[in-house]
Amino acid sequence: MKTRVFLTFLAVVGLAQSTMLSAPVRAVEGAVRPGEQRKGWNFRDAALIPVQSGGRLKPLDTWARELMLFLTGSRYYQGWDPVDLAFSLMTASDTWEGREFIQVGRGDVKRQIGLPEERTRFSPKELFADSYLVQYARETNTSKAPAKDVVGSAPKKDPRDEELRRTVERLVAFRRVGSGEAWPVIPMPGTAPWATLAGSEPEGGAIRAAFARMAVSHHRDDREGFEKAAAEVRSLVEGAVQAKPPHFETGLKVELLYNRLHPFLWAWILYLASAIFWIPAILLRGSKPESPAAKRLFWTAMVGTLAALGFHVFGFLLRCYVAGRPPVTNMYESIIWVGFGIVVFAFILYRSQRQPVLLATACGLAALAMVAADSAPAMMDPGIHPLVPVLRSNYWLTIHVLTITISYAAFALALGLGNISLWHFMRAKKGYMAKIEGLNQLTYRSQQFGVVLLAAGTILGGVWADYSWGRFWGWDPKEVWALIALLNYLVILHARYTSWVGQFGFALWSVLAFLGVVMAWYGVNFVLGVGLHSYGFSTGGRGTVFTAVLLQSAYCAAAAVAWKRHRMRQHSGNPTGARPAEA
Amino acid sequence: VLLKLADRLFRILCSLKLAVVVMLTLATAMTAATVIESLYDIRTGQYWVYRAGWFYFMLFLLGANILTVALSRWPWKRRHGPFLMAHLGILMLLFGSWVTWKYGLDGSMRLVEGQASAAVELDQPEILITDGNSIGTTPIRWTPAHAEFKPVTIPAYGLVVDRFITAAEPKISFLPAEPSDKSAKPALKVLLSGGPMRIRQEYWLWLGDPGWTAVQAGPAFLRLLDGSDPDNPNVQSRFQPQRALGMPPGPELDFTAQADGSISWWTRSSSGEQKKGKIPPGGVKGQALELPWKGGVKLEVLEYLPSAVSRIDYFPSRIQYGPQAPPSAIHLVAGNGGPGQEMWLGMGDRAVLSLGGRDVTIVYQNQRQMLPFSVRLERFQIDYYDGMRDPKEYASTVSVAGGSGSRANVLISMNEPLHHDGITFYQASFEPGEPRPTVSILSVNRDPGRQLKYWGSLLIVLGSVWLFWRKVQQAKQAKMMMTSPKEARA
Repeated sequence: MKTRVFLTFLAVVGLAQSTMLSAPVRAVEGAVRPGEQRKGWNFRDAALIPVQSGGRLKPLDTWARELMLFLTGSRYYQGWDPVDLAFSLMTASDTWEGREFIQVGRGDVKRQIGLPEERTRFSPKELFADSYLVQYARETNTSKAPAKDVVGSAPKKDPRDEELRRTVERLVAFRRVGSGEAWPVIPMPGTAPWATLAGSEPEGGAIRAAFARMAVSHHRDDREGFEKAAAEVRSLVEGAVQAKPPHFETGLKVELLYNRLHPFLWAWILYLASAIFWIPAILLRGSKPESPAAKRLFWTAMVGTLAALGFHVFGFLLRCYVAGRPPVTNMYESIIWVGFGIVVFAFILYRSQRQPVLLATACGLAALAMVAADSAPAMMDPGIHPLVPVLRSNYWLTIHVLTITISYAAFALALGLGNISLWHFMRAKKGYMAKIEGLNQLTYRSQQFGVVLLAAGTILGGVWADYSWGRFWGWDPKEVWALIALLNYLVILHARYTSWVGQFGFALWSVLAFLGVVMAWYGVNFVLGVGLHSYGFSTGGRGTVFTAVLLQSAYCAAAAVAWKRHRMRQHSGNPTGARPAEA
Repeated sequence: VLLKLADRLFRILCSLKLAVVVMLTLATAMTAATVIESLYDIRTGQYWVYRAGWFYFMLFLLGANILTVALSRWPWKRRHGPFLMAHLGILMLLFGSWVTWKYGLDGSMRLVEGQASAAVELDQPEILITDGNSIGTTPIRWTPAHAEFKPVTIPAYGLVVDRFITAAEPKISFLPAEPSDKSAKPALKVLLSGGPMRIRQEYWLWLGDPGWTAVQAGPAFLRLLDGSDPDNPNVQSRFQPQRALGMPPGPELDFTAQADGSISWWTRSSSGEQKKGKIPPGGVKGQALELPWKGGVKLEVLEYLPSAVSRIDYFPSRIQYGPQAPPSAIHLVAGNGGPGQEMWLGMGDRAVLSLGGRDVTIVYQNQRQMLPFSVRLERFQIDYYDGMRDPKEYASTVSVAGGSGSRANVLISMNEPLHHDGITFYQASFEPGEPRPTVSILSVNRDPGRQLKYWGSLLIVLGSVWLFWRKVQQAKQAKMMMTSPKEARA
């Protein structure tokens, strides 16, 4: 596949576009508003045209969204409807040729190609004129070895090389959208891959003709013509799909709903708002008798949290329906799932402990997690992809991965609560010890959840590995890091049990132990990049994660210093009256 | 005094301090191992950590610690239930792992479509020695490139394995043979130089192996013929150079090794011009032949050995780690290591040595275990994702013969293994091939510790759930009694 992309690149560099579809479109007189958005058009029928790409059938809308994200690096490029953008790229490619819309990430890559580092997007014209990029494409094409072992370890990727390769692929994709080669909308008999608009297979005659009408209408700014032709193409393609999976049409509509609603976006906005409402709600709650304002705040935050959870679950269900499996196979999906787990654990603990601080922490953490997942689509691919062979045993995969990742949620909640404890230690205001004891008790509870689930999940992973590979334990880095994280928490639980650590030590180590989870969750796949779990490997985000880890460590150190000072003051006879912490 | 010492040892073993120290040591060691694996490869990580003696000792210490802690609570009461359950589970898991390591089988089987095999290959190398009467193996410890290899002696034959190359590449050369050596054959070394591409390349030709008698040197085809072979009067017709369709014929050059030590040669240029010549015995070195070839290509005879043997030496490969690294090689020394008494053996190489008057066959290979039955690959199937070259599923249809019963056409697919006589076969991977892959790799496994591990796991999970649930109950009771929320010690 990739080799062909590069070959095409070489073919298109320097060549004028001369393919079947765009040529007649261009010949049509009367281009109206080329390269401008068709505001107010109804793209529903166009969006629902089935296409085959990335190993599955999906609505054209998803394909167009992936294209937009890939080309521009953004999910919401200047308010364009993705389908509109795809058609505009095809019918007004001359206009787009000079527009700066193709993303080139990484400063070092831009420096290497000789582009100004302060800009993020570049026009195809300036990129095609770049001799380094052309040279790179040529070299990569000749030294491409096919990956052999599907289960074995894959070679590590160099992030800079990856970005260079992607830049070349973006240019190729742009040209292929214009030429029609990128539009896989012609169903073929049997299991043969679908043909594109640029092909000449006899099966696609009617579809190509109707598609050309769509393109021409888009070109001429003819709304009615476009919508009519779109409905026609949709029914033609749907009729031509062979061996339809069950609920085929419904599946496309559900996926469109998922794409357009983007429920996870609403979920994190609501989580964030609720977290903000929770803070005054908690602060006012302490004062007695409870004021009506405090009550109102409390219920607003509560309703907001529940609404956020509702969107979260709804998005989750839609995604399950579309993918036909639980969403647990990449970083994006696991973060969404962990965010959900954090809120659920908070509610479970809230049932018995009635401490709103739980919900506040959970809202904050869930919002943080989902913002992180949503903000870096290039690093954490939000697309829905088919599974590699080893993951296709749904049952064990599902249980094992869901259990492990949900334990991360419990540990994340413990992390959040631990940080709040440390905050109280730093301030050491009157009555703080009681608050801390309560918080630590909650931390302890969520760690217990986490330990049981992580132990069970790791063991289930062993069962799954035994079932599909014949070994219960193989010292694979992912397994090993899950075990390291587990050992860390076991040490903490044992140390608390025997009172080796006091309240402060417990809070501190609870926070630090999460580093093991970060390594097991993120580090193995993104930093180490070896082992059997290679299907989850990716690159990127190291800087962000590293900064977060550093900030967290600095916070811990600051808390430790502040607490030490406070205790020294107490020992030197400062009559604050606070009782010693290690009581 | 002894009792006192035993008591102290028991106290140390059952202390929680030891548990914490062991757990933290294990965590640190495993962290290091994953870093090593990331920098080098999994086998290096196993060499330094997972399969190192001290790591096994730490695991043993953990087991001993848990056992003594459990014993120290004697006499057990009802409240010890969850604690004992979880810790017994860990013990069973550790013991089960030990049983697997000691008595289990974990290897792989490479099956070619239409062929049967009973050999399971393990991942550690060994030397297999066969003489007329006996057969024996000596394991060789795989050692990473940066670690020191400990020499292995095989006293029965006076052999020493003194060097080990982790990832080795072969280089072949030819040496004058001892007069007694029957495998010796003429060998010729030529240098091809000049031409439009300004090449400069040396070639060996040798009559001892059919693969070495002819070579395609750029467009030219060179070959060495045996003049003493009576079946071979018209040698020109015996071998024909392989030529791509539509290519013009390149120049050919035949050397014939005569019994008197001279070489006669015959050539035909690409335009069809022929020429003959003879090199007298002893007049070989540095002789440039006057060839009617185009483009100014020069051919020089560098060396001629009327009776030569081949020798393979191994050198460290450029790639030392990871899946692309070539397999290992060893250096063997017999007796005092004089000429003919030392040699290199690469993975899968075989050599015959004369030791103490006996002919001894030595093979360097991966350790293998023979199954009491054989497995035959009938067919390998592979499916791809819609319109992509990514495999969706692959499976092997095999037949089993022997053992407790024969079975025909069983399907082994990803996550659907075959169980036969306590041994399980899993679809692990395949070797790519055109037009379709026909070599399947199965992972072969027998795990006598499986039951222990499974039950142990169950106990761990149930025990810890019970333990934490009881703590929640205790905390609730404590709250109701308006005492401190801190738990009482169990």
